[in-house]
Amino acid sequence: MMGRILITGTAGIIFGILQSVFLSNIMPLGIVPDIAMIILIAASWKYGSLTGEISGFIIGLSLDALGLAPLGFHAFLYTLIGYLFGRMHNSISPGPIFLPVLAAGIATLIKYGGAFLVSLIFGLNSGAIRYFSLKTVWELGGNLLLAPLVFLLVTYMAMIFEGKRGGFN
Amino acid sequence: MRERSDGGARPEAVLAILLIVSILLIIFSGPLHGKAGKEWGSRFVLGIQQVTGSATERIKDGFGSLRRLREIRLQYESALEKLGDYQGLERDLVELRRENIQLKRQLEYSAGMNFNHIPARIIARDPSNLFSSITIDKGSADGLRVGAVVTSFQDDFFGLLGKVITVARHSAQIRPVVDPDQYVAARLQKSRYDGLVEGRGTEGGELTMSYVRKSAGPLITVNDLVVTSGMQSLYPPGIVIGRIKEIRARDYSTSLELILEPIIDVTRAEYVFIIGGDG
Repeated sequence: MMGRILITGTAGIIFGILQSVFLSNIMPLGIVPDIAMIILIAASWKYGSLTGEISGFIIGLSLDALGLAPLGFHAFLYTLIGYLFGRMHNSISPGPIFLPVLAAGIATLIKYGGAFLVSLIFGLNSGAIRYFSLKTVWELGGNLLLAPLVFLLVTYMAMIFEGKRGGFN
Repeated sequence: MRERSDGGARPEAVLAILLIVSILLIIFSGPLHGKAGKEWGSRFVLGIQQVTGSATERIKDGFGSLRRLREIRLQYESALEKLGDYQGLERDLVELRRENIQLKRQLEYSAGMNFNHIPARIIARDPSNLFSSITIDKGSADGLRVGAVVTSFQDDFFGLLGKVITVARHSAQIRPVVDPDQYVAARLQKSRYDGLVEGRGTEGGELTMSYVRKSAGPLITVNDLVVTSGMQSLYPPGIVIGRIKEIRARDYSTSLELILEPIIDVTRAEYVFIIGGDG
């Protein structure tokens, strides 16, 4: 399990940094799809709640450190997302397109809805957080488009690592 | 079937622990307790961001070189077929001229500045689209310190972009002026009335100028410039903040509310100049 958390967490952090450094500079208006989050939901679905929530916490903390968010803000949201999508493990297979797209859509809504609630509960400056705007729609669109690809990538990576090492147990 | 490789830990119990830790972190690094709690983490990750940013620039340069080589090859082939066809070359020339003019302007602006300043390049932005932070490629090693004022040059205007909030050795994080947590003492350039500018957190990145006396109404027009006043503020006077887009006067209020369009579009900014560093 440690190996799975390590790989998922590292992949999420790497993509989080790429989102902020590379994608934000080449995408129009700096709106980037949240690939780190899609990696998290794909890995959570594949490996279960425990791997998902711990990986989500690690990825969330790194995103907190990268931006203006108070420490724990993304950690809270991504832990929750990791846990919720981990619940799908062993109950239904994600398949190639429909469920990954649906999952990415739901996760994006949880992220923005959760951000709204967290800022409301903890008295963060709600104006500082950009939820439910046109930019949210752009991000949602990007997430939906990339979800099947990222799910495929996570499955492929899992096959490579687990094939080589006989699993991450 | 449950997970078998979790060492017996219950996901719900771990979830509860992680959520409690997250909540405690939010409480202790949130608005009530300042940002001190997250600075250690930010400095570390900013370092990684700086290294990645530099690497990305090199990769972009590499791809740029490849792209240019390909263009030259295409132009060569085109020239062999049709010697008089200079269209591709001309297109490149126009782009280079545009880039040259832009860089010259930045250079003139930098040379003409009255303040001690440190030029820097924007290397990263907020990864999650939820906040509006910017990361630059200069840090404490270059003389930057927390609270330094960040300006930029865009469309012939020297304008305020924000202030430095976290400094790592070779990178720093900026809170843009459009962020609602940022307040700037401001003044109307023409009529000289004072007010307080803050971000509105709107999609268009608008600003609000409050506490402008109602008697100033007849002297204010749309498109008037608003500059920093320098009063009891870390911002030096005379830096352009934005242009008046809308004037709102409410019957019950003793002051006007002005909606401003920032002079610097944060999403288009590439280079910045930091005033008030040690450099």
